[in-house]
Amino acid sequence: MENLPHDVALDILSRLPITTLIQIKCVCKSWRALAQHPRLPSMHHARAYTRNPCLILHCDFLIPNELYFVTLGNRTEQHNSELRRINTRINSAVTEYRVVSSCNGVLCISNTLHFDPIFACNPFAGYLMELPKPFKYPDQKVALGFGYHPTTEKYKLVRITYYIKTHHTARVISCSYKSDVQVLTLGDDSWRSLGPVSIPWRVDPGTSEVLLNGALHWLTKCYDRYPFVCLQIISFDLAEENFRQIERPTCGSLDACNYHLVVLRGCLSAVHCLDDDEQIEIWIMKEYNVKESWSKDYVIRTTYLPTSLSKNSLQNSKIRKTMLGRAIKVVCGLKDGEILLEYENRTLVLYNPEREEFQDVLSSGLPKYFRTITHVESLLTVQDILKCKHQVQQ
Amino acid sequence: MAIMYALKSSDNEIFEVEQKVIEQSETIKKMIEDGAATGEIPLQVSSKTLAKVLEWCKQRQHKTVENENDDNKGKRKKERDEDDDIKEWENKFSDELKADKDVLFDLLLASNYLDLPALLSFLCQLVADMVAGKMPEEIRRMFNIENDFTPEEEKAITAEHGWAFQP
Repeated sequence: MENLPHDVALDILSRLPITTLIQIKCVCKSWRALAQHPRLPSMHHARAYTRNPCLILHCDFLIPNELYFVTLGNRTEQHNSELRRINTRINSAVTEYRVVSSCNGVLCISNTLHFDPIFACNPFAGYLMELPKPFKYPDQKVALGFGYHPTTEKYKLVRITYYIKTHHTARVISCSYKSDVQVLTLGDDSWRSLGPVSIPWRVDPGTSEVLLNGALHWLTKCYDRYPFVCLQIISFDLAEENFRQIERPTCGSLDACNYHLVVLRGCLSAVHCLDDDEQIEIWIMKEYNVKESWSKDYVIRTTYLPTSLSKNSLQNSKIRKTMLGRAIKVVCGLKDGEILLEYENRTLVLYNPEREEFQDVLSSGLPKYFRTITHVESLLTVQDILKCKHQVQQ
Repeated sequence: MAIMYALKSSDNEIFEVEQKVIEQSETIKKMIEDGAATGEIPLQVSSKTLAKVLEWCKQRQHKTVENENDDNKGKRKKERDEDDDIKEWENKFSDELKADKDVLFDLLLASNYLDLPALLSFLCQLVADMVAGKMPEEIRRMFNIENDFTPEEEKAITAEHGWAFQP
């Protein structure tokens, strides 16, 4: 490696997973010098979307909360997936938190209660950036989203608050339901209010589901055809800063309450867990916001039992599943077409759609309960990532 | 008739190659355009490595010609078959290089010198895949590297980045 021209050696290193990039500092002095080259972090970051994502596992059943990450193995080179704990400085600022989302290597986390305060960090570069405080309301219910728009090249947080306003008159106390949409552009000193929510549906408290084409997507409960309740897909464009309704397929398959959103093959996708527990269907919207382009591209039989889950736990999960509506969750798609599934917040399974085969990602050592977040490995600090231009995610 | 060029390796072996094949190399293309390529083109590349370079270039050339001749009918299936063929060819090519690391690194140098971006990128990815997920000791063994750290120095690095070394 030391005999190669610098540019070639750095090109090779920029393709490595972050753990290897740290470990090779121990190989010898010349490798260490290469691995510490000042240009390497940005070269490595620029290749972020050519690699498989790394996975961050957030365990909130322990206090303080813990973060782990999984680097997925490379099948052709026969190295296995690895799980490591991340020592971030998050715990010194907040012990119970939620991961709002991850975007281009920036992880956005916030205190569990009312999403306040909010932090941006790169767990691999240590630094924790506290973001400005939003306006607060009494009895507020908060939905929060974080993302990047490739045209404006800005990162924004969107906070939707529902609250009750009480009016005191001489004899009567009346109250009214109010809402407020606030936006924070990262780098600005304060939040901006856009006024009340401009759509007739109420966004459920919690974090947004997916970021695609510079828009955040939420699922909201829709009572238009009461007593039938269904989920409506709502988007918020981070450049135009407005809400839109995303049409669901005509056939009625997603007129249900138990689906979740994910991005597969660069398209907005809806994962529908069928009630009988035997299969999940994945609908893909090939052309963004074209209702006719939705198609059912995958049907996954869910009879596979991961080795780390005993039969017992699956039976118990029947009850849990009807409550949560999603015992199996699609996390993301990988470069070679495989689909990553999360079972009961307890284990990760790779599904190969061509061969219809399942494979456990790690058969042991996973934390007991976790939420999986797809993340991009980067050695850049948050400040440097904010300055980078990013292509649309593939 | 295809225009042929004679390439001369550093150990004086002559390779007769079609212009189209060798023009993938920006360096040689420029030499031809500048008129510097009359007679034999001398290259600072050994015959063993140059043979590998040409093997790659011919395969790439073959691929582009076939794609030009395709009409749209049945293209997708054909493309998929071709992709499989190319994959298979690339796997064989990679395996040979993995077995002989001297050739691999010579080829890296040659692809850089001859300005063959596709080959360079392919080889960089190949080395990266070989290294990815390996521990320092395995990497040293793989490339015959001597550990020139004192135990204290090594300890300091592991301590600084503890998370990356603990399983």
